[in-house]
Amino acid sequence: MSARAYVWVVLALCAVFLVPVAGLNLMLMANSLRADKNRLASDWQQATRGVTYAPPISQNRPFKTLRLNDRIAEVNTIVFGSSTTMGITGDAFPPPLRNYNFAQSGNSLRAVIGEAEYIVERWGGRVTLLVIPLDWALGFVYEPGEPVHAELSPEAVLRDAAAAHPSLRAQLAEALSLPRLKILAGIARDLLKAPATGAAFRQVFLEPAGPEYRCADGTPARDFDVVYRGMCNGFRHDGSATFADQKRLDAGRAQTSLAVALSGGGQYALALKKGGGQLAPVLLDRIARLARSIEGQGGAVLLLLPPLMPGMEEGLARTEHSGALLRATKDALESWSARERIALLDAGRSERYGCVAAEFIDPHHALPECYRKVFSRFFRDYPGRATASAR
Amino acid sequence: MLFNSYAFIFFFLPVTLLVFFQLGKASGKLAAGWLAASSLFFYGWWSPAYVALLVVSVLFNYGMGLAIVRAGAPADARRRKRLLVFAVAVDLAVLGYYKYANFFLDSVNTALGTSASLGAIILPLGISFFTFTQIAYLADAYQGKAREYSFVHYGLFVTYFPHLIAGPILHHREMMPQFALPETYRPDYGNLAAGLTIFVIGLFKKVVIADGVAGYVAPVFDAPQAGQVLTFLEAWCGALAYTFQLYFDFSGYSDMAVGLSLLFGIRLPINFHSPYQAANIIEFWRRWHMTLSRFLRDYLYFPLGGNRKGPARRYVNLMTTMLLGGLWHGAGWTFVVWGGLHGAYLVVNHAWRALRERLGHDLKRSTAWGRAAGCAVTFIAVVIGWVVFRAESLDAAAAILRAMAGLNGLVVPDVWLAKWGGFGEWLAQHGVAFDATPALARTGVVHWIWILLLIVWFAPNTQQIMAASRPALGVPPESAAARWQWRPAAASAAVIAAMALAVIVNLNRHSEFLYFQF
Repeated sequence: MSARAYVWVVLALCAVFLVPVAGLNLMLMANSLRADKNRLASDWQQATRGVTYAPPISQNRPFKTLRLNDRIAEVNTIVFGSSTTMGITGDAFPPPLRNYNFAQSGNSLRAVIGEAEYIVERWGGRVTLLVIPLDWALGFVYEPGEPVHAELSPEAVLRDAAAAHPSLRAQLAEALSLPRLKILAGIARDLLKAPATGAAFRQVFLEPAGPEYRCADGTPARDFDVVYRGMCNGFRHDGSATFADQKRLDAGRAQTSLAVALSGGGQYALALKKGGGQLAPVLLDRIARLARSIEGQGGAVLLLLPPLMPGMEEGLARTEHSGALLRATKDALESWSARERIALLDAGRSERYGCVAAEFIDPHHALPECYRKVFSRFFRDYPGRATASAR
Repeated sequence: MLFNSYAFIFFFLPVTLLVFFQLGKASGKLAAGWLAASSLFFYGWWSPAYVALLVVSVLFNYGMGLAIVRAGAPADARRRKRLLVFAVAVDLAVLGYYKYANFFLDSVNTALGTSASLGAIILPLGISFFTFTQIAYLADAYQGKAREYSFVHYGLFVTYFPHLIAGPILHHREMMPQFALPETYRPDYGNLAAGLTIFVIGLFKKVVIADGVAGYVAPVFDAPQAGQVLTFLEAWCGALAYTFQLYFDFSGYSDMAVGLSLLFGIRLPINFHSPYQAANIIEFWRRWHMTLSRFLRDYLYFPLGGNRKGPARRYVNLMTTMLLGGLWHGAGWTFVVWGGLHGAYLVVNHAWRALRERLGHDLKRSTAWGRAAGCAVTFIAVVIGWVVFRAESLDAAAAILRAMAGLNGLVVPDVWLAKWGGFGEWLAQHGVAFDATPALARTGVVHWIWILLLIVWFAPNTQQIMAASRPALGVPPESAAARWQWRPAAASAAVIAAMALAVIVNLNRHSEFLYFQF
């Protein structure tokens, strides 16, 4: 082969691969990032009570906020937090509590307090129970700094989403990235298997959503994203996540996950170490103020230490690297909540509530089955603790 | 602008290359001017403000070099010397201000308990490289080894973008004749094919290997300051990960520089030649950052007297050269100690050779086992040096070295206990300690280490693979095994295209080159 042919062959091979990848991924992103997707997905869920989300799934704040605004007239309980608490379904609460799960991916306690303050200020008479997770396992209770002011009107959240739209250059870089390449390969596989490839191609690349279908439990679903299609992935009408893109812990994974979770270099040990067992006083003060405020309007705050996979908290408590820090954190939370007379539901040792490893997708993400057990025990043991004020 | 960025690969490089050869049809000078202007744009992408510093530096040194060359009559010897001293002093003062002023003040403050401050000084990218390149030119002008060059060629020589930010350190004798050749400005598919191949290999070394192993380094080197006591495995894994990160990062950059330059028909000097295959530390420095070694030898070690004034003076000269070489890498005591450590290694190595010579040994003869043992000892010595080089402080370096010596015990990561199943339990029952190893949370580094060890010890390097196309200057005259020789062929085109694609899909995590800070 001549040097000239070699140069052109190398460039042509790269171009043959990159041009279609970049082109198709840009089309996918243009379709995924359509400005009206959040509104379309939210309206569809409002009309059908089905399962859906607006892409990307990791940035669910706009969709969840639109849903909150749509649902606020019919609910009286709001669950806050990050993906950790997305497993809390509406049926975890006894009547007359009617819940919307407003948990969003990566939402810290600082953000949660701001959101809760907004809700109490705006809809205080209507919302009577706020479930606020105190997630030490992710380090949120130690974070310094004031709570983040929240503005949860549909106009504001859609404006923020539009402002966050990536530039063409950023989209081009993203279009050529490995994760995008893997997604495209998966879509290509599905398209080749589809009975009508042309129609399937149009639907994925050009239309805002796929067709409506049914989940295993009969709930309608519709995919506004181009990934996880047909999996019933996303958020239910009550705001909880289906976690359909995740796998439950089986016996083998549970053992390895527990070992990793208990290791001194694991994320939980590092979160405890970073916090040094010292809760952020400004966050506690604002939660106490929030509790007083909603109590004045006939409501209540329920603090939740989210369930961890069976054996994890007990194991961590026994370790040299984390035991003392964990004890300090929990002692401080218990004495503070008792002093402030705020209900604290400690579900950290989930095995005490009958949760099993298969009800988790990883050490700190519990599925609805586990949360149901936790809340049913709580409301059975303390029937008037948080429901008395609910209308 | 980074070589490993979309802007460089898809915009800057193709545009610069196409316009260069188009202008080359009309005039070589015009094409050279375009390349120099493009290089300034490349530099200004990082910080436009520092383009002025670079331009002033080029103008000043060109003017001073011209003055020294023109004051060539023997009667003007004192004037030439004064000009040289002045020019070098100004260069070193600028370098000293940007790179060493705060280090000097911090050291004074520590010693005297004062708190003098110059505020934050941003280090202009590549200042050490373009300063040294020009000091060499001035020194050669003084010695009559450099002549009067065209300003365009001189400007291109200093600012030439493939080497501007992280070397290789160029020598005017190698570059100016190439700039003067008319064929440099005509496209040559042989050069384009080889240059493209070398550039892709370098990118792959940086983006896939160096950046891939980089994630394992910081947890270990940050641990001492976080109050964490490292164990044997943690410390060795971190030290070895950094050893490979640095090599693949810097040699990847050098490959890219050589490849890019070859696209423009210009050959740069070789900068790396499988340094971890060196059988002793003297050989290591003939293989690692070769253009810096050459600069230090020619413009520091030789002027100090080299080995011409007896063994004792030779060792002092070696130590002085290496201490200053260490300081060149960064303004910090860790760099000084690293330089001193390598100075000591070199002194011991030279003393050992002198002893063997006195005992009548033939230094040119070696057995495979002897060479392997030498290679292993040299490698370990270099790894120890890199710990000092990378550590945040001398205390941190000492903590890591203590752990590497086994003084903190041998602990196997507890996550492996579950992964190894029955074997892990058997080991635990037989006294092997499994416990938390926070700095080794991601144990995949072990696979990186053994694979990269095989590559650095047994695989031919880029220049050997590409030897047939003579891609760089100063490649040692030795041939690689014929089966490793690159030739333009369908298979090699497919391999290089695959490597290029692997790089491009991983580019969005792009990181800076380690040697930018020097």
